[in-house]
Amino acid sequence: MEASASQSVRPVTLFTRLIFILSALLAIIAGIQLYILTDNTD
Amino acid sequence: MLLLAVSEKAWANIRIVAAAVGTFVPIMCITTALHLDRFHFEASGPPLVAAWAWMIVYITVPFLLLAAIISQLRAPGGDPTLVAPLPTWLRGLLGLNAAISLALGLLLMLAPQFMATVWPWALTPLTARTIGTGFLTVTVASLQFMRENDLRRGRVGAFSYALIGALQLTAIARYSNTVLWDRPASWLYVLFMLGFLCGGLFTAYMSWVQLGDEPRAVPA
Repeated sequence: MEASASQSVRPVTLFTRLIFILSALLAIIAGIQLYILTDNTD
Repeated sequence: MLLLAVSEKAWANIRIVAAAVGTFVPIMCITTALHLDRFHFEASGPPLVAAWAWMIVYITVPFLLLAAIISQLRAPGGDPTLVAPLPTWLRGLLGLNAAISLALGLLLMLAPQFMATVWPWALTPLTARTIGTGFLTVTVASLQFMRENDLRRGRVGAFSYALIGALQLTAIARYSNTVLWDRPASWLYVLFMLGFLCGGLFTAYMSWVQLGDEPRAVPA
């Protein structure tokens, strides 16, 4: 739904920003683990 | 992509990120659950820590993301006006990308052993499903990009396409001796990733450089 002229644009909340930063850090950790955990022998 | 999204101000501009992460993490959690025996929970030292770190990531992030989406939907306001509707050719490319990625994702998830016989490199069921999870994520991101129908809202995603292509091609070059070059799929995969790289770079150029901070319409 587009915001009308009198309506504000829905912002990115501080909570979402924090979750995204935390998720990014966790994703970096997971990416590093991928090389450790994957066993290509079977 | 997540870190780029943090700098955006409008929720509409990061919905593609939420859709992509919201697809990747839960499916990766399922993939992990399907192959728990491949993880080093019986080991000690770093492998055990790594196994638990992996599990914690894929169990916690879906709930964190769900909480973030709920907080966004409760926030007041609407979407910004469309800045630069996607050119028809770009919508076509995104649709093609989504269709190919969906086919690859489903095959890798549902028939990993068959895919191992045609894939450019050796696959285990776990690695096949992990790659399949990535392709299903790309599918959802491309569909969401088409749904948003705005270069400005796809800005963060555009950069990610280029990054996927660049990283995949780098990995293939780095480990080229493990790629089965006698399989046609190897060359098709390189072609597909070149498409990611070139399409991503061009779309990123249009949405970051050409559009700028004071956007103007891009001709269709």
